[in-house]
Amino acid sequence: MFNVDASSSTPIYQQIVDNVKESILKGLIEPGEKLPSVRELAKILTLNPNTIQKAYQELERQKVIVTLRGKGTYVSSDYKPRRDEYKLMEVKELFKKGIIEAHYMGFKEKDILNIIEELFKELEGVDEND
Amino acid sequence: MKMIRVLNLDKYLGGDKILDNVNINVEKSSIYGLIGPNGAGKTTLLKNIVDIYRPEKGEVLVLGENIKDNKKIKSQLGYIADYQYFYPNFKVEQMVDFYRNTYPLWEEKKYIKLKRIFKLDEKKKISSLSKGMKTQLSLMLNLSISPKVLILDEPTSGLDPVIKRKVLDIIIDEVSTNETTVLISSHHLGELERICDHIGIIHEGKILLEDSIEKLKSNVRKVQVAFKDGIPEDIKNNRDILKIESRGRVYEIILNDHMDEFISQIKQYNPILLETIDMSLEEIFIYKMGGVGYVFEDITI
Repeated sequence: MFNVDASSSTPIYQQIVDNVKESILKGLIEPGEKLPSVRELAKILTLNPNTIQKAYQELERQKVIVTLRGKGTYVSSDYKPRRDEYKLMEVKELFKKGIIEAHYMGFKEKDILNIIEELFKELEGVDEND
Repeated sequence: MKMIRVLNLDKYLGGDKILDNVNINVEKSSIYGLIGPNGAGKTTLLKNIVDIYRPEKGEVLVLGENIKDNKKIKSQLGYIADYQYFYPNFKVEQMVDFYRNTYPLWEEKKYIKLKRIFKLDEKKKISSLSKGMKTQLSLMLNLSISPKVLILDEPTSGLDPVIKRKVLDIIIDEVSTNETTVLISSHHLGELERICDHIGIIHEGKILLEDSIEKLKSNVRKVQVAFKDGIPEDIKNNRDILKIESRGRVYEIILNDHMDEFISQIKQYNPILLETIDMSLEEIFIYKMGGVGYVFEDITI
């Protein structure tokens, strides 16, 4: 269900928090839907249950999920994921790769910014014509 | 409450000091990993904790009481040794009977469930079991006694990946369901990294460090940095540096602590490269051991 890299420097509980939020964003889990219990998730992922507990506590603190005593843990029906946060990270990564490549070709910051300006003109041109 | 406390423990075996002023603390329903090089004293320490060995100095408290000759506490303690010392002429069912009649908190329902999971033939003779099967048997028996504390000495060594996974799953299930406290020694840092919340590193009989994995990973960090005109002296001489290696202009620096201050310090010199690199528990262990001289030189034959 979720991918966790135990050898990463990012704490495992943080990865789970991010994973859950991302899954909600992508529509893999929907508001109001039931999540696995701490015990079930620990078993599925072969992870320390205290770690899962910590992740769930954090998600609850952020009002992403809610625990109903005796019933289980559910995604909040009124959680509105902020699209921007995740898309922004993805886009930043893309830019980073492009800048590194350009740098290795000998482009300086000014040159790269010029390229971006050119691209905008190109794309805006396309938009206007549509 | 601390379920296991080892206090200032010394242990000698045949005149050699195997354990030197060892202090260990394991919290309730924690999964604590004991790691260390071969011969560091892991097995000796675990044997002291379950009262198979007696310390020359110091004491062991389990569930708040001294373990020495303590039947009450031992009946709540499960121990899976590195080698299983079952009576070889016994059949599996006789061994089960032995545990069933010895441990007051034996849970038959649990045993039946575990029997189904592990698919062990009760009619078999113990001597005909492989190492892996003996480990499984030990696990079955020691979980069926409803332990509050579970001690495992390299439980996954010699097991195939499928059984290994089963063993880890069962340990996790035990902790989730019964809040069992687990102390596990292993070489397999990849596994420990997933399931443990705390680790203790033992080296030449001494405890090198004891900490939560989360804290360890947030303190020990790897940075790649490069400067146009070479690395500034005060960066190079930072006292938190565990190791520093250069490949051309790029320096790879392992930091013991105070990452944020170090990064701020580096930024003042306008580095042409500054990247933080993830470190696995295995890497952290290797570098920490390197810090105490347990290191292998690069070998070229």
